[in-house]
Amino acid sequence: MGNVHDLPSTLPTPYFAASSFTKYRFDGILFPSAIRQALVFPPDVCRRPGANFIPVGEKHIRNSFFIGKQGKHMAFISPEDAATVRERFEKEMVKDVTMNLFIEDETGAAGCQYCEETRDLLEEFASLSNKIRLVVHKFPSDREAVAKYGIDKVPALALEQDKDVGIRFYGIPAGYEFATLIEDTISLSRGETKLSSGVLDQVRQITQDVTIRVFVTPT
Amino acid sequence: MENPHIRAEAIEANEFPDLSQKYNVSGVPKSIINERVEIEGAVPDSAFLQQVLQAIK
Repeated sequence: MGNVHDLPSTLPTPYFAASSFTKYRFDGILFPSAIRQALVFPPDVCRRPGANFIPVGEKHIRNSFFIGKQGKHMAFISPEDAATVRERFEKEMVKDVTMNLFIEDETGAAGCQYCEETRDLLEEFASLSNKIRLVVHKFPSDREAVAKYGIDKVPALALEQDKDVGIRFYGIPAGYEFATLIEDTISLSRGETKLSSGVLDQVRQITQDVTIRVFVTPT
Repeated sequence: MENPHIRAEAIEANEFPDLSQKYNVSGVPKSIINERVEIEGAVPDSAFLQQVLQAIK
């Protein structure tokens, strides 16, 4: 995928200018990278021009679990994707990142649809770098952690480097969300965002509390 | 990362239909800022920022 400026005009304006797949210009943790990931389309969306507003209700979650075409050794991440991501992490990660995953406890009272799949996916994801640590908490029984991260639904993922900066993924981070997860992990690890300086300056001046919720789907 | 006052959530719409319904999510992406401002679809980062600033006025 080439530079965004080469993309045909029929594609929706990317939320953040993207370069190649391996060099997403990343908005940083200020805005949920979900937005970014949803809006800065991964390479395969080039086959779907005009898809900037995807109707909810397409139940393709099962298919979207397989990010590559063939999932062989890992159930969720194809060997090709694993190799690509591993390489990126090797090159770009600096500090350790902790993934705090909340899944339903044994009672199943939380009624979680994809908790186990999320856990499996993130275990595979964490194995792609020795700088990524996955900590699994039970909801709601791990009360202290639940309160600390303010979790009210599962599966929930809170990413942090040295402190919680308020990033949450609710639901399985599959499909498009997976790319977001990768970018967030790298960004946290490097302690840097790629917001343009103009936007960044204004962002840093905000003194009120801001909560951004972005609804996404895997496909 | 850039501002501790700001928190961000990605919510998978299919798994949380009650929330999707609450915010009238008929397509994605849909962003809700401080329960006040809604953005449907893709917008450039500068436009998104303007909406954030609008939401905190």
